[in-house]
Amino acid sequence: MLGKLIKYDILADYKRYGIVFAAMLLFSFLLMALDRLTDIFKGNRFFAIMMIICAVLFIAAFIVMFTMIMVIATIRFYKNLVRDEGYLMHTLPVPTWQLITSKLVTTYIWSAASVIVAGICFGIVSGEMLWLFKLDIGWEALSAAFVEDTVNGTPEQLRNLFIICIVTIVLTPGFMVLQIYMSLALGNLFHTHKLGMSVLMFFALYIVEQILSGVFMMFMSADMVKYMTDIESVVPFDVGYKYMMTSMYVSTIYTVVLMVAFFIGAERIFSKKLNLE
Amino acid sequence: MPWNFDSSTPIYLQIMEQIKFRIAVGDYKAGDKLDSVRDLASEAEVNPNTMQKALSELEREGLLFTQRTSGRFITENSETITELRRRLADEQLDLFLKKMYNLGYNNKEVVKLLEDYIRGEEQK
Amino acid sequence: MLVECKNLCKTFGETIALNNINLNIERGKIIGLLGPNGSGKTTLIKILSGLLTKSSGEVTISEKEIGIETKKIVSYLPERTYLSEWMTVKQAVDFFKDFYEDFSEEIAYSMLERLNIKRGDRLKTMSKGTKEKVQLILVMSRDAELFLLDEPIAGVDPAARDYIIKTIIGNYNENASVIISTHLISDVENVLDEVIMIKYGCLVMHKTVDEIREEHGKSVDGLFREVFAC
Repeated sequence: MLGKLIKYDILADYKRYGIVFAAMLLFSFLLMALDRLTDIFKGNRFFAIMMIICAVLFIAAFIVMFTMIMVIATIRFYKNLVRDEGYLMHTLPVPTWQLITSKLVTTYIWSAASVIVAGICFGIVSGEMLWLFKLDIGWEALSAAFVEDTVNGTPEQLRNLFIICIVTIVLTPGFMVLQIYMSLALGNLFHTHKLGMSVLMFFALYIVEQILSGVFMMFMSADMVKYMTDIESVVPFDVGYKYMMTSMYVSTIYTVVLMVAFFIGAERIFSKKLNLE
Repeated sequence: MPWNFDSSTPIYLQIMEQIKFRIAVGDYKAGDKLDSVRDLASEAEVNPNTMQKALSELEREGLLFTQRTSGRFITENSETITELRRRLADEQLDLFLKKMYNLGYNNKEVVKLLEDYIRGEEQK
Repeated sequence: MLVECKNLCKTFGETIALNNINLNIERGKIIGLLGPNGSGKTTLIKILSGLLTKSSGEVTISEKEIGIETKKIVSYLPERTYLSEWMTVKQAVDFFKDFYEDFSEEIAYSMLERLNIKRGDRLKTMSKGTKEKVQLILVMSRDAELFLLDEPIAGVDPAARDYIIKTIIGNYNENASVIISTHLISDVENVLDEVIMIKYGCLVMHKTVDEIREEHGKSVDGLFREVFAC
């Protein structure tokens, strides 16, 4: 049944994403063409300015695309499970956890698709606009660091850091939508102003999260304080690494715990306290 | 002929009356096959159980009979139908007479009135 | 027994929506659930459909507690239009086929064709009345054991009303019961076997239509006006 739910969740929004993805690709080609024109008309200020504007818009478009995933996920969840369509969805012979999981998985599918499209767009643009990548990142030194010891730590340390970063990136969209789902579930409990209460709940959850993570940080950074108060001191690599890794681990665990709590919370509310208008 | 129901008596009784009337006037002829309960119910916009009940009652009265596989039929006994027509006619006469009495006519006057009226109708 | 409620109660905070309902519903019946607005009709239907959970008491459908197993055998038509706007008729039919084992695609399409509704039609472009008909057809194309129709004839024109009533009759089978909640009694009176009247969340009457006419000498509509006279 979960597969069928996901199928309809994807069918519901594939056109919207299709348009956005097509627009992004079109934009990339446009930018590529514009870059060639600047090469041809060297010193033409009009093209130079257009180029800069377009490059800024290009970056902005990516931000919009990734924001849109969250917006679409929110609208889909709200319309499908909280409003009128909920009368159909919540009377299907399907457990509530599958309804939520389907929405979560769909969000991941669209996030992955967006990353792929973003990659292709950068590929198109960078083929002609290498200047974007001429920033000296030092790819070779970076890849070497995964193999041999450098001043920036052992390959193992770097690998750990890399893995935890990937995990954080992967968790982020899930964490965000689950917090939104939880807020919508909480908002559903009110008899009036459900949507307004959902927004309020979202900020309430956010504040609680921030306070909690602030408390964690205070405990964890206790031994960092001595470096912070003494301007002259330099943080030794191992101490910095340890601090960094611990806080990343803690925040990952914290995120996972919150995700599970949000999931269970939304599931409980929808299966026991459903309150459709 | 459309189905019509009033609101005070059970509907199955009204269905029975209306089917009897249809048999008497020859809408349904001896040996005719009746539509299925569901079709009749749908046509009359009544509950299928109610239609079923009415038909069963009519069967009990001998106006319908069921052949196990092929469905329900109007009785082939012409005597029963004649008798039914007669009974319906009596009911109408009874009503008619009661109203005439209420208007203050006696039996003789009623017969005279009726004869005159029929003659008048024939000349039209 | 198809539906059994024992001391069923539902409260929303301080307000009592259903108060100690004891109710048995057999198979093969068409039942009118009657009561003024806010009497608890919709609450009862929502509990049976699984949209609300009871506060106390017992309720079973086909000897099963309300849950996924009962959702498989209950076909529910809510007051509102619940189909996704982005769908075509075909997608909506596929949706029902995917999720309900007892759904018959053939019946649905033959009913839709009779109304001249095509597979490619989009729900977005349909009038509210047409959308409601599509919904009714989907709900009635299931071979469910219990049909719950919440105010199916409120706000529809007479032709649509006739269509709905004919569909309910045409769909009748001895194994299933239909509960129709309505406040427009005279429109449905002739198709009902039984009548359940509720008032302020309490069950005030559960009788057959014939009983009502024989005992009270008046229509269900007439009796309803008497029972609920202000």
